Amino acid sequence: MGMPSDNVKYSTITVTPAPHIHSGADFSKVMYSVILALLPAALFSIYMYKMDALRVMALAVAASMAAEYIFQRMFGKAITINDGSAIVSGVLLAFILPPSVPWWLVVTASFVSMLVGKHIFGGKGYNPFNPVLIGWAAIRLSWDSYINFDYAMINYHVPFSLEYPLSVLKKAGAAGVDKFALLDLFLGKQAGGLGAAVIFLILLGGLFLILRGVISWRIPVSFLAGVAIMALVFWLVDSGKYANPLFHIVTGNVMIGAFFLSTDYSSSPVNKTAMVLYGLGCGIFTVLFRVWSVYPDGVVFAVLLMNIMNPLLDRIRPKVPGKVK
Amino acid sequence: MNIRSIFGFLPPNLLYSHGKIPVVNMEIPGTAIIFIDIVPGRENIPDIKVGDEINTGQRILSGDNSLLAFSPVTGRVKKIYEVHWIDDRRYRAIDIETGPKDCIDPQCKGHGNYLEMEKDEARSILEKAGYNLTFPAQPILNFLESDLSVSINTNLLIEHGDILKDGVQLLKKITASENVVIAITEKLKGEADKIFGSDKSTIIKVVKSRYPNGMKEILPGAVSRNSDNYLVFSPGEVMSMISLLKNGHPSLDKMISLIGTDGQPVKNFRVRIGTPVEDVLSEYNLDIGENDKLVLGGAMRGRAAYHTHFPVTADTDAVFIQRKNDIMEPGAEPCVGCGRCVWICPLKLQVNLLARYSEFSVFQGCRDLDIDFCIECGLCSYVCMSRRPLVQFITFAKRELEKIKEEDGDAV
Repeated sequence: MGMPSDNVKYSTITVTPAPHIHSGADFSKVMYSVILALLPAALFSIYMYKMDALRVMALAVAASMAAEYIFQRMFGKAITINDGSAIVSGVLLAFILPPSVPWWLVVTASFVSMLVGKHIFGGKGYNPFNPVLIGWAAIRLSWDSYINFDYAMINYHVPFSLEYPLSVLKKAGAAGVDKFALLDLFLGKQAGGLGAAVIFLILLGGLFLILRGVISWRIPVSFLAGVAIMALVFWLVDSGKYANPLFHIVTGNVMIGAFFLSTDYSSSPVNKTAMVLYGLGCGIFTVLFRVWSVYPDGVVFAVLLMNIMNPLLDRIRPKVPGKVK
Repeated sequence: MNIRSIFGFLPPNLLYSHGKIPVVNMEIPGTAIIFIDIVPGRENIPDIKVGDEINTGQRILSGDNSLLAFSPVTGRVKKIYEVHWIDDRRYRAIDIETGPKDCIDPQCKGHGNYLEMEKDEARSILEKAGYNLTFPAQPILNFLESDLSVSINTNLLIEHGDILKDGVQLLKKITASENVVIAITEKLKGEADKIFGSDKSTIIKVVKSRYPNGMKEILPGAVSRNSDNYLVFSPGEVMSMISLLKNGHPSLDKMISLIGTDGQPVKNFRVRIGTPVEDVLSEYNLDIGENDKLVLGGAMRGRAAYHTHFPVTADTDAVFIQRKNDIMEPGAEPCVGCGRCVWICPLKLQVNLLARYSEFSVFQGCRDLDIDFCIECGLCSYVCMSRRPLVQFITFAKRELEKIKEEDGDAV
């Protein structure tokens, strides 16, 4: 190492590689923005379902954070429960559960989502699926009666029908859902997931995230477009049997799926074309599941399916300018 | 410099600095330092020893294969040593104690009327000095800065318009081009019109004042759709080329911006090349404290020096001290896959994958993803929400690939 002239005053100075400035973007700031975006819908559902909504949400958040802490300790990782990602997972999980879900199921779902959905793959950033959906799918398949909206919501007194619109659609066809006014559904007057059913506030939160640059518009817009296109196809085939596209968009988990569930960073593509295809796929499969599967709503399974395709889709890359080939 | 939406995390708009900055002309320093690149296969051992007298403009390397290195001052060689800098760069450093007189070396022979020179003669002199002059090419005179917070080209345009006007003629001659594109920002267009407007062979193109449009690799694309065969020159380079032809030595002086702690240029200094940075700092009464960072160059691409006895060289455009509280803590967090680096990359590289491949030593994967196209503008690291050292991952992989290539070459 070169030692220059002797009269140089030495002091410890820092050497780091360029760049020397940073935009200030920060993962936990992003996570707290997501929480902020979810807050209005959370308050709305507390207003509707009182303590039960609060109970499920608090439990899901606490269990997710505890699970994150335990698994990070177990796998010898740095503890990052303060970065907000476990809170977001907890809130999103609660948002797609009914208010009546028993406490042990919330805890189970949280632990499954954190272990099987996230930490088994290496933790933050390595999860190929949205962890929330893994947890939800596990309990949906294992304890159907507890989170089936047909049975779960009968004990509440709210100013709207507690029939789950998508179940009605499944059983009675498009004629059966004529009793639901689209505007009421949009305004959250429907049975469904705690926060997920509050369509207009979820939409508002999603727009907030897009404006804030947390998520790109590509996935939500193409998701909704996919739902609309596929539903339109069915509706044109038989409008007596299949519901119209708008009904599909304002019911179930479509809105929360488009803005919050499918946009999970590490399980969604980063290239722009791939994002559009991914969103379209989510939307199309949502409707296909709704129409042809035994489940009334298909958002979670559609997103999980597209999560698997994410690495494949992300191979659709832009061309490097100036590259000759 | 950083225009961010008040609302939050929208794509950052990094704008270049504009405007004429007050200039301080500094005296010739008491000690000047010369840095000569040491590259494999080209050790560049100087002809001079400690104690030798040396003249301004004197060549200190001989041999056909060596770089053209000049002494910027007149004095006595005090010390010769080696400097290792970051990114594996090595330099032969020579400290010269300057004498009372500033004598131009008698061997420096120029052509007073350089515009009358034969094209091939001018080209061969410039090419020997290390200028890359592919032929034929469309020259661009680039008035965008090399980096954020640097603000020297406005000053050069306003103060040296006449020389730069001649420079346009020179560029036309050495590239055998009929015209020269002047790349300039909206705010400086009026000034450029005044100086170059009368010359019908210049094409003034307004370029968005957004980083990294000023970079050599990006500018041709910003100027024209068909961006082949462009050669980009900065005003400083053109002035140095003129000096080399006219006086037989490159520019002896260099303008640099001193960047304040807010990231804006506060003052420009015209210094003799080889002036130690410590002299510039003491001229402005700037102290470097414990754990502060001294950066030579701009905020995005400058290199941090490990002490103050580093020289201002021909490609140093700025100097700034970053206080320890402003230094970004480098992170080792995993990539969350948000995609911001991919969206902002001016070359549309898969930065997220490149960094992961590099992190886990899958260098072949980096090559398959066109790592060689990376121009190290730093935007990916700038926007990374996990604060991953993305540029460093990429430069590391590039160097490892270079090593693999060398080893393979030896095997054959």
